[in-house]
Amino acid sequence: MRIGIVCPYSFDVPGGVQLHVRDLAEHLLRRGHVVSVLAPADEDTELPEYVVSAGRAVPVRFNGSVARLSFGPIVANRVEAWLEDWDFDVLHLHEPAAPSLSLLALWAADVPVVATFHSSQARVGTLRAAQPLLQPGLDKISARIAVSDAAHRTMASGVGGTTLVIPNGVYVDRFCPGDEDVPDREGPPRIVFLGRFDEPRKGLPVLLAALPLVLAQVPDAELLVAGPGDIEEVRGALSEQVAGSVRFLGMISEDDKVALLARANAYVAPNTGGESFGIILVEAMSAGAPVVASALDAFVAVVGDSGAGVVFPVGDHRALAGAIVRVLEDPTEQARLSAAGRERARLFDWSRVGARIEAVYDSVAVERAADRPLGGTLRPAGQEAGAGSPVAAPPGTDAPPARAGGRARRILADRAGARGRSRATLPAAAAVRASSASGALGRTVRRWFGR
Amino acid sequence: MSTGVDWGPQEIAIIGAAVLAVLLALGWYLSYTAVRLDRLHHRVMGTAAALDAQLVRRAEAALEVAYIAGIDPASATLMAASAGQVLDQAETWSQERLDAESQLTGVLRATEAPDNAAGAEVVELLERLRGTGERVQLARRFHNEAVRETRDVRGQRLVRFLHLAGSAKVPLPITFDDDWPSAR
Repeated sequence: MRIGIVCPYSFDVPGGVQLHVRDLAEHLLRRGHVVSVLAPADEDTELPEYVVSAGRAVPVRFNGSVARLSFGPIVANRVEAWLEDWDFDVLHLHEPAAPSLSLLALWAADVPVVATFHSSQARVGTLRAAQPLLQPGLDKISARIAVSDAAHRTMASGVGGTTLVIPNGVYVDRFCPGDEDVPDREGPPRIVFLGRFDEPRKGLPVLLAALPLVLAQVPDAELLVAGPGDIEEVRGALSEQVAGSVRFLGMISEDDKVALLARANAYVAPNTGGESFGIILVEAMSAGAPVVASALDAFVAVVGDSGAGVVFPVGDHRALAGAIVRVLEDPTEQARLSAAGRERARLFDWSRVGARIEAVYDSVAVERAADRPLGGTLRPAGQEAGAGSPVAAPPGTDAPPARAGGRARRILADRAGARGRSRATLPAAAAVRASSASGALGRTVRRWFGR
Repeated sequence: MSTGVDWGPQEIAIIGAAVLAVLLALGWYLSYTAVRLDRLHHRVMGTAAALDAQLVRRAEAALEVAYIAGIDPASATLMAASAGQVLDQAETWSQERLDAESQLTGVLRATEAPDNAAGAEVVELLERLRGTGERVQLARRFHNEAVRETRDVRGQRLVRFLHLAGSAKVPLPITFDDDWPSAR
């Protein structure tokens, strides 16, 4: 199957949606699909070969944090050229309501669309104001996926419609430490925090407030903070009492992250809000770290009621301190949490999550076979499209003009060979395509006045 | 009773501009709704075609299982007959077809217990059949969702009054028993 995935956020910076898109694309490629990912990225960013850059992203405050988004007429043209070049069977858009690439792709799409809603905190008010603008696009989405119940609720209140809840995936095995570094939890008890620590909603302040209470009970405990952020600023604000027990590791590699988690006596996720899905919890559980997490809906959904982690009230540093102390003082409890967490994490492995997403693709895609000769009636449109593509393909998309023509012909072969019963809808689609190849002007007109 | 307004050319121009603005807004709204309807109908056609394709795949997989998977002859006959009946009916949405689909679902539910001694090939085949069942459920759900949204818009009074939906047929939800396999 030919699958197009659109990520609205820039690949220059790490983020939950970007990671999800990357992992999903890799899963689908391994399963033998043809996959292309369209995402914003700076020109000098090194991208995986399946990612096509839609150009630079602009940092915009959106949805409570700074997102690097991509929009504007030039980007819109690139999106359309990408869609034309690849001729997907299914288009999978992520966060289609974010004012970025996904929205543009949704507008331009004329194949079945699957959309995944990640966010659980789109301000419903903003969404309502934009509702009439979004609605014609949202009408095109055949299948809606939410990554959690929280994301589902946000979407249902803002956008409406029923949804499938399919959680984010994790390559669980990548987080299982290798045999050579068997987790040892000897030495001073380690509390681990991961994430952008200078963002208040990630909750480091709650953890730092809890730390003196923890140190009163477990004096040799150590807090390891890894992730991007302004270390000096946070360190400067520490009281002397705790400063000696906090170590900042800065940005760390994936391998170091696994090792860090595997050696943690407690992994703490004190986030205060804005989390839609606790992917980091799944990673920590996969690595066997005992998890202590705030009781956000998204986190509770991941941890489950099976005791695979300890949950404390959001923002309550006393409760957090109590929970950490209980875990640190009891090695049996650590071992139990670690085992239960690993078991639970299996539910979120890509082998399961990916299969469910593939089933969704299959159930919206209109099949077409490629084993019949080229139909005569469609040829003129094909030549036109072939001639138009090099003009339409802007620099920056990875389609060399020579290949674009060949692609268009193969696409036509696919189309002509489509099974008889789906043929009725095809001439119209071909006509739309042929006219869209006539250039940017036509695209702009259609964007403003609809099809 | 005099309103005290002096109906000079300026007042008339203002009223005229207001009327024009209202008409333009109405016109925009109507074309906006017409475009929405068009897209929704498009989507309904797509989801129906996808459901059709998945149903055909399910029947084909059932037929394969009946012939290859080495289940007992009675179940195999039942499954093959139901699957054949479905394949005869494909491409329409007649009540006969829906009944045939429900029947196939019932047969699949009844004959689910596979032979333990089956080889890897058979296991894969059964897994595929199960997958097609799940896809049928999804496809039907997505289709009926599209139908419901389309009918919601078509139900608006203005849309009915002005025949904004044009000659497009009112889409009907597709209902049959697809309750196999149950969620894992």
